[in-house]
Amino acid sequence: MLCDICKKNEATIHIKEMHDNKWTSINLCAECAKKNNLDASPDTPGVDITQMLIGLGKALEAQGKKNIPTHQHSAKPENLPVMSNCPICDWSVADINKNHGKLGCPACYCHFGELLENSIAKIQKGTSHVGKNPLNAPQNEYARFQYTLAILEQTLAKHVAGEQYTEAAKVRDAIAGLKESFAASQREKEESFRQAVIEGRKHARRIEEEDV
Amino acid sequence: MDISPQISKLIQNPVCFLSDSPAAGDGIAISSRIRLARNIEGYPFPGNAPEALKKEIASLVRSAAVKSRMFPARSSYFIFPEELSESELAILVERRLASTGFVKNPQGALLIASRDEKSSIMVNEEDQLRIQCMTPGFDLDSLWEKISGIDDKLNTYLEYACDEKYGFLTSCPSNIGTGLRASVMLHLPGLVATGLINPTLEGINQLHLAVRGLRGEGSKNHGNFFQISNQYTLGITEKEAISALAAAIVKLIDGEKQARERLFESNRNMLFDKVGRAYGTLKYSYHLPLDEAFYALSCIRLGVDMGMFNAIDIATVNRMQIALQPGHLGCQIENFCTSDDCDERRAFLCRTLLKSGIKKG
Ligand SMILES: [Zn+2]
Ligand SMILES: [Zn+2]
Repeated sequence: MLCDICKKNEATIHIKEMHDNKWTSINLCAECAKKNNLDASPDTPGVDITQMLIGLGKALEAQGKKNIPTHQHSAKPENLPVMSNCPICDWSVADINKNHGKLGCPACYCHFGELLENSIAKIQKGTSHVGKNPLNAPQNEYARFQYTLAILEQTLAKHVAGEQYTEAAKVRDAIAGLKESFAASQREKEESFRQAVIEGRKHARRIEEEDV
Repeated sequence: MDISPQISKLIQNPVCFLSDSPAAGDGIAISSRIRLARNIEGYPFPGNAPEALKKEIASLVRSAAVKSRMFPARSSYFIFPEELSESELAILVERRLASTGFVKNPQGALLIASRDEKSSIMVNEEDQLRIQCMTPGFDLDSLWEKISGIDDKLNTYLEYACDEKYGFLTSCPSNIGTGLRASVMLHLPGLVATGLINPTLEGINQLHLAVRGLRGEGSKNHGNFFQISNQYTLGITEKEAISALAAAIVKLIDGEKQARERLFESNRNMLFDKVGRAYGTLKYSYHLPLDEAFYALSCIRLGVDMGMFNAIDIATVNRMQIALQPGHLGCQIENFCTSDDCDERRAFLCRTLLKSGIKKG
């Protein structure tokens, strides 16, 4: 993450505070923090973060930037490409912007994927998850299934409304195919889970035998 | 004023994140907290959910909380913010059970909390679930064990939204991955008074931590409280994030100890003067704004930590810390203070509590 003031050095000081129900945050390099007196003097009764933020606002204004960046570590896309709304929740790029980088539903991560990728790389340590996984195992496949299904159903409705029956029939086939392949992969998952359980039991039995 | 039964039960107890035991730690690390952001597969995030859907989500989470036995129906709090008055909502924030964002959007929201208030879930805040565990002092490792256990139990009843690449999916991309935010609240009057606070924060800043004041709002003086938390949630494991934070906290505690020693050795009169004046402020004021009270109380806390008082104990300081905030202030002392003015009521409360908190002399 780069420093909000000089845009050159790595920001190493992160200060954030809630104002009017919105996060205001600043990210500074050590140099700029010192230069703009965003540090405590011995006489101040307490470090006043509000004053620090006002101080930063002035520093940024002096550099021709109007406002303190709000919610800096949200993934706000810089250039707004023309993109369709999320097929699951109808969230738009404008909605993302209006809501300080927040998304509408889990499927938005899939729909706005490319748009988010760069912003996420900028605000996070890495680009993929390395922590704990949920017990319900990655549901990626399910999300993608839902997403694709929603798009196909939208297209189908359009064709039906436009009385384009040949196209509609094609889409109907595609929907059936999608559902079938999803069901097949679910069956496969269940089977491999069952297999794992059986193997696990075998393994457990072996340990018991060794114990004796 | 009528107070709802659950809120009046809450305010009978001391808050869970302040320890009244003088032996607990050094008084510098006040409390630790971890929260996990989670959402349910197939539902929109609360910011994009109509009220009816939010209610459906709330009832799903409630039933998972009860069925998993993490929050038994009889002994837990199930609080609907939309049924509460402003000052009751403020009480939830002051007890750190709710965020300011949560109480500002009460429609369809639900707060679930254990009887001891140490575990809780905000339902329909920015994310559908914000699971939280907190404890007094500096103890992130056992908090992680505890909250991860609660998370797993809930997960057996709720299918979480997640992705192979991005891990747990959250409303804001700044929380994806682990969805974990760990934080420690520090009281650093020594570093502030010696002017060393900034160089010290710079010293730990390579670790990418966020610093903010005690109360999220724009209040001017934070009473020398600082909340330090991890910044990253993606590309880092929960344990890595927690241990990076813990390493910084250890350094800050050490720096604060040294600053206090230095003040005591080289500037004792200045230190005694500050603490003494603060005591006078709390004991003899008839009009006491919140910021002034917070600052004075910070000085008293420092004095108690350093053994400068035998007349006041840390339990009294903790009680004042909570009681003088607007929500608690509005609900507690009307029986014996007739003034409508907040600052006058606060002054009355401080005078009273200091009288009753004095052990001898
Ligand atoms: Zn800079
Ligand atoms: Zn969406």
